[in-house]
Amino acid sequence: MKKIIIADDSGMARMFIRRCLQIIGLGDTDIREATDGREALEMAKDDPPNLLITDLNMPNLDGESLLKRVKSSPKLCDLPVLVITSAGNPAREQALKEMGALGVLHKPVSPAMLVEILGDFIES
Amino acid sequence: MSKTGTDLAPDVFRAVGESIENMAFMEVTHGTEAPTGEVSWASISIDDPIRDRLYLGIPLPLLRQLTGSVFGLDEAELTEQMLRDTLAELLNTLGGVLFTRILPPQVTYQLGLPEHGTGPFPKTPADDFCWCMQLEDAALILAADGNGLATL
Repeated sequence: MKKIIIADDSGMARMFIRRCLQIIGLGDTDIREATDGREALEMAKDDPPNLLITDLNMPNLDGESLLKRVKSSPKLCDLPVLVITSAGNPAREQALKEMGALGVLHKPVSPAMLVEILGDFIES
Repeated sequence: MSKTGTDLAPDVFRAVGESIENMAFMEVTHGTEAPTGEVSWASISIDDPIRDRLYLGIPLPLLRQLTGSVFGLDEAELTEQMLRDTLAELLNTLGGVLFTRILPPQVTYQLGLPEHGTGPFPKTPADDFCWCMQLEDAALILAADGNGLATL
């Protein structure tokens, strides 16, 4: 069973993303939730997921720092990281992709946006 | 020439409307009145490239309705935390949508974390950077301190 970690300090945002994942056919996935970057990192180290979806603006290790830590970890460096943020622009998106993000989506996300970027993940 | 609240009104309306429509599938229309009764509100700092603060006020019955729609639950099943989460996330999202609209694409911006407010909503429609809207026959209000936005 595939495993996904959703990192966002907003319970509503986590729920919303979970529902979008269910709509696009990932409802049977083991979806775990973290309320900040530090918790997400610990969860990923303990039991590496197949995908990490993270907000940027979080307390206790923000999304950008989480992305850097994941990509610099020998254990987690190949983990796909999808960033979902309310505060983006082309320059920042490019920087995040250069750091290794799978993609950057702007809130509010929709199932269609997730399908577009997670198509290969869904099919595999 | 400095920006006024009126100058920003079209982008504000589109940012709020787009956010609520995508999150709760509800349509926002223009309004002139501030919400009455018990109003839940939150604020978020704008840290870069300007310093300002946004405030979002939603009357509690409307917030319950919005939250029920977002979570897909009956209002009786909603918790206080869900209501707070919805308000905070809505403010966070529309703040991002707004700044993506009003700033040039090459300019990065930074928002703070939403903070819940206590007491009455701190702004009124008489304030320059204050925008009233209607949602399901109820009013909601978005406002800013304005000192940073005016410099855009």
